[in-house]
Amino acid sequence: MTVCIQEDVFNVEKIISNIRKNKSSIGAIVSFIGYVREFNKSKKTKKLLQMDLEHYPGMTEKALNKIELNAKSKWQLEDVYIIHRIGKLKPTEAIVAVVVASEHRKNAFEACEFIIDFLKTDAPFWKKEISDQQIESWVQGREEDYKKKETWNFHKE
Amino acid sequence: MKINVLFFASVREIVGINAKEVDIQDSENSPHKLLNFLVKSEQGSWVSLHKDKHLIRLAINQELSDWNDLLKDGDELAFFPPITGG
Repeated sequence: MTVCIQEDVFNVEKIISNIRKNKSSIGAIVSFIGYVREFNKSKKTKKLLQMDLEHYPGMTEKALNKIELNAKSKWQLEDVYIIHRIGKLKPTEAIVAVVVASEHRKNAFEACEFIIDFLKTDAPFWKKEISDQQIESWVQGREEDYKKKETWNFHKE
Repeated sequence: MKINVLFFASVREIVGINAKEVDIQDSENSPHKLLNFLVKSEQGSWVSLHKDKHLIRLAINQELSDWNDLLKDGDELAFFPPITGG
């Protein structure tokens, strides 16, 4: 299991080949990758120039490790890799990747969705958008993300 | 008791600082009471923060927490807006 927070660009192919190294029991790998959108459909007039990503060092790692452990307790998994970028990102760049390996596909599909759903509400990252007009605005939290998390019917420890 | 208070993202911009050590009475042992103490003793941007209290999330010792959870000497308390990662 790995949690990684970094400014640098990441390579999902490399992550997958690292996970598969010496692990012949892996039969399925599911990956989710989140990207920076250039246009936000809900804000029609804005074109994004840059996205600034801030986090709470220490708490972020703890929160992501906890999410990984919770996923491992719910599904039988061979490996989990969460990588999240911070700092200045340009439109179309990848922000986050969740890569889950398991023996059979069902566990990997479900655990990957579970991890990104909890990351959205429990891992302390914040996004600030800078438009091509140099207007800065903090991205607002989405109620749908909380509703989506609730669908897991997960009991807080 | 002493509480190390941290501020992130839009909350940091409201108060204008990253961190502050707050010395409070033992009876003011919750985030709710600590913020009330700052509003009363210093006013300024703490009043704006208090006004937006319903929009603020918090963590005690790096665990998501509630306004009425208990604080103890040496705790790290963080105030921040709703999370928007991923």
